[in-house]
Amino acid sequence: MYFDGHDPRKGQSLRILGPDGVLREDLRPDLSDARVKSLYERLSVMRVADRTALSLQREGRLGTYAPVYGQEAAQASAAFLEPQDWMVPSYRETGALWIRGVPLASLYRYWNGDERGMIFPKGLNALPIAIVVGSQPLHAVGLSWAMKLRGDPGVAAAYFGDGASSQGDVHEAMNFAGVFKTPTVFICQNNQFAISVPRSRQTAAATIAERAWSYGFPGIQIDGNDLFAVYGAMKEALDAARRGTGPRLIEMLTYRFGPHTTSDDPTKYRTNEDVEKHRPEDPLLRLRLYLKGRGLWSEAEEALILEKAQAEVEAEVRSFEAAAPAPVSDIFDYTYPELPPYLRRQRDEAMAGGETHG
Amino acid sequence: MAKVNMVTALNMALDLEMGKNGKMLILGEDVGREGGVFRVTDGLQAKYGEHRVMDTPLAESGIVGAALGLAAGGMLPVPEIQFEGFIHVAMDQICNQLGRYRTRSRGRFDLGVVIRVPWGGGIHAPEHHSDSPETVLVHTPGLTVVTPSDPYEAKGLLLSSLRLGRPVVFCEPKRIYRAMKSEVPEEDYTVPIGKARVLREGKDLTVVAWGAMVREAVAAADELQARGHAAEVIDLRTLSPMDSETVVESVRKTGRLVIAHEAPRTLGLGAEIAARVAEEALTCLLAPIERVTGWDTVMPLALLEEHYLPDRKRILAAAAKTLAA
Amino acid sequence: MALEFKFPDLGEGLSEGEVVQWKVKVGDQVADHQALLEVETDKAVVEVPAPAAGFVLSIKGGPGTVIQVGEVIAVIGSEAELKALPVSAPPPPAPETPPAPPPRPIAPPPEPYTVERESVGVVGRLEEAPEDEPPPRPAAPAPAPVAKPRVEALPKDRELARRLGVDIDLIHGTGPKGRVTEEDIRKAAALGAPERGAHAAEGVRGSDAFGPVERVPLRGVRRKIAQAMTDSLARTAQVTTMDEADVDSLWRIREKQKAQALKEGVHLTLLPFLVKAVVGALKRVPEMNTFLDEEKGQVVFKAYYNIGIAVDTQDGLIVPNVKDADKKSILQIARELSELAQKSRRRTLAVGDLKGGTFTITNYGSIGGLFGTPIINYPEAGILGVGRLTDKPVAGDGAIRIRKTLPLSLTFDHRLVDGGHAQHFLNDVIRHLSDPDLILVGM
Repeated sequence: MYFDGHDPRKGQSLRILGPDGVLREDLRPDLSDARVKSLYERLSVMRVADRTALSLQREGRLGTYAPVYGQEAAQASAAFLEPQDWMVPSYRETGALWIRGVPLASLYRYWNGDERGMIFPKGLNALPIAIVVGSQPLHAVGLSWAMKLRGDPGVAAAYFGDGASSQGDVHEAMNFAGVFKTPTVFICQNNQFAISVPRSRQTAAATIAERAWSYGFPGIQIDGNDLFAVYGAMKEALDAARRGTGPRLIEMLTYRFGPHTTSDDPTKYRTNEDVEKHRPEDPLLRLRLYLKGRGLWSEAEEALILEKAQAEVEAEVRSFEAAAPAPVSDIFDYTYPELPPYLRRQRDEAMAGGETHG
Repeated sequence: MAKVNMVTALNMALDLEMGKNGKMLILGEDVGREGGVFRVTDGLQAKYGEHRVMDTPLAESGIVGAALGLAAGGMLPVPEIQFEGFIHVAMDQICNQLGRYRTRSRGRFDLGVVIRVPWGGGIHAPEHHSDSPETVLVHTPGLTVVTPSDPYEAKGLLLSSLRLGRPVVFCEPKRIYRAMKSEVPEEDYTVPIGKARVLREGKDLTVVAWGAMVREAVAAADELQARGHAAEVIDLRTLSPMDSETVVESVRKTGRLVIAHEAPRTLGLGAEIAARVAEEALTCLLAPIERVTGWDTVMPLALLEEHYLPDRKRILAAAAKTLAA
Repeated sequence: MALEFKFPDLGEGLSEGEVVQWKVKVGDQVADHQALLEVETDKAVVEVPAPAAGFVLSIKGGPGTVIQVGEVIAVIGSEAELKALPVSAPPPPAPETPPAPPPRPIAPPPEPYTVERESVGVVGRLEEAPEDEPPPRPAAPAPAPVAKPRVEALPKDRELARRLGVDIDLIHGTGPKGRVTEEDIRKAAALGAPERGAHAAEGVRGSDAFGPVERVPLRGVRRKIAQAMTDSLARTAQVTTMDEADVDSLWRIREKQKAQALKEGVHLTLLPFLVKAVVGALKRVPEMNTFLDEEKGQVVFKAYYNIGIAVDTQDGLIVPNVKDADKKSILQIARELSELAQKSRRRTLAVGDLKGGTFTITNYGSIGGLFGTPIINYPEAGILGVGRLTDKPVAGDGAIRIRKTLPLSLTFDHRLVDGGHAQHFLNDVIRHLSDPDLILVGM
């Protein structure tokens, strides 16, 4: 329904729930209102968590952080993966990793420079955060390829941004996926910026979604701030991949309300007016409008939702800040399963403060 | 004369040369409108126009490969790789292509390309923003690798690099981008490529460092002075081609050598320096050569970074060991 | 029960040493006599063994630390005691559930949701220079004090020089580009400078064309002597003249003074008298106190009198010398001769004791033999060999009397000294020995 009916090469883009909160019933996916409400509550927590990260960073309690403010609906896509699927994130995926099941405290830990944050709960199928832009879609292709070869029913979801789409490795990833027909869903969160460079600078193509055809599979461009479109497109792509019909590309149009990272000054390349123009597209705003129209939301409700979100996030912050410091030996102990002698000597040296000098 | 930091000094060099050389181009991610994430190219797009200071798509291999072509076509491209962690994406274009082009074309193409890269650790950054992979570049024939240690050196070395007419990787130690200010002349001046400088003279031991480590080496030397030992401090400046002669001469005088670098110990440049000194001054050595380096592990994230990076204390310990031997 | 190991006197009157390196660290298990650390003493780098088996609980001082004899330098104990040690490694992780600290308030982020201050870079924190930072351009280099000129030598040879107690920078190098070689070092340590464990005679039994043989490596003192002897003979023109001295009167003086000397702790023999006689003769026949500088083509007349005495030790011949023998009394010389002999046998001679000699006396008479052809202690000009003291019937004043007689053999370098000089020298020595009053009058 969605891929077939919305060809980016024809300028068609999928939107089910618009900024006005009105749903196109003919395009509605099987997403119950109860689930929408529940998701809205989770996305509220996501936003509070994201803003809290910024506050913590300003206070020196967190290191550099890449916010997902404004991209919550697109991040919610990770909630639609099956447990056996694999999530392959970039670095602007804090919301997605959290909704997939990685504790917020772990993610805060990671952004504070504590590598233990990448120790995920057992059985949680997600690869660690990838900093090198565009490096990870290839990994997703390999993972899904393995699942296919083993006969497992899993799909790998590769997350990357509009900037990443210019990297050669992303081209190679999609090309491989097409050739080997791997069960891979490529999710391009197009938030319009790669630090300061606008999306128009990344490619002269009209859309990123249309590139899929050059690799031999279909793509779709959706309104990434529309939770229904996210759900619908994801389900369709995941099912198709799971059925063995090969990879899909979903370009989720969204907007980066926040800075590139907490150390970025966006006023260097965009004005506050530019940002405010996109304010009405806020994914949470339209969900509120929709739920209100369904009698499932009110101002009083909102206060409660926010209060609960605050409490949940604060508990995670406490947990994160209560962690004991990582031992110096951690620098060494993950390099190899067993440390060779020269590395054991270096570890001794490091643990002695580097002053005994081996 | 103004006292400026390294970012400003580099900006001065770029501005000066852009004004002098109409064929010079600056390209990279966020270098134009934003002026570079560290502001090194600040104001240059406004001054010289979008056709000379260009924001590129996010593609390091593309940036360097296109620069190679631009140089072959007679321009002087100055591409930026945003952080050293991302230089690996461009390695084929740098090592297999740029480094080899003169050889491959039998001297027809001397490619003047200056790749600028923020380098090294110490800023509490996420993964891949704190490494020092200079060994791979120095190991690649055909490349010139340069790294300044203070603002004055930075402007002079960058101007020399821009005028060299050969592929240069210019490693900018980000830890000291803003950490120190020195008097940097407004006028045109250069600092020679291929020549190390002796910052401090001394007879008791030689300390060799480059980039952000020079500051630590000098601090260690000060402490040694207070303890009655005169350390000779050498800033290598150019990593390839390396001026090992200056180091050897110094070791002939002092008999003791400490080398400090952020990069991991195995096959870090300290190994090459030690080998050359052993070849040419073995009979002058009074003690084993000491290397103070990062560990042979992945560079840790912010929380454990200080346990990885060498500092003046570790240099001092190595110096004490070499003096006691 | 933990054992406190005190730095022992390694013999030779040691009072302190400098730690070169520890061979174990805290927590290591050691066996009895296993090497614990290396210590540098006056002359050598010595390994100090563990006094007992056990676990190292503590050690004192890193490389370069000076340790005194009697000072506790290590503690060795049982495994249980090791485990009971407080861990000095990085602090143990905090307990799993710390008491929940009061929640730190989190201030809301500024609105609008952008950066309010000028920020640089997109990651991390850059150090900012303080406003009034003095320029980091290097200050004018401090005037470097003139470095002591140093020789070039391979590291292994420097190690050898250190072991032998030789100041390598004082050695003239004969290797490529003036490098000091192992040979140079061994020579400078003089013939017979002792080394550790140099003379384990590991014979290898075998046979040659004619029968069973045993092969022993030519090493250490033996090797040095072999080298020195051939050197000496190769470079000089050695001639020996022989004569006898009537030392009967001297003998009686010596007998008379023996007891008194012993009270002062001096063992008086004829040798110190010989030294005095020789010194006198050297002053009167200065050609015997010279050295031929072939490089410069000069005969160097020495105005100091350092008399070497050949000492037979278990390792071979060692020749320490008495410095400025002309300025010392016979008793002083006697005392010094005793000390030098003792030090030679104990291998505790200082390098200086073996250098700087101008003339040598070799007294083989105690073993036996009358006359000989001693080889010069190159680069000296002569050597006096002293044979066995005998009671001989001597004719004089028309009668035959039994007189104590000392056979003397003087080898001289004919390049520097002619027969006439040599004989004059020997005559002078004999005259003074035969008529000791002359020594008294000459003082």
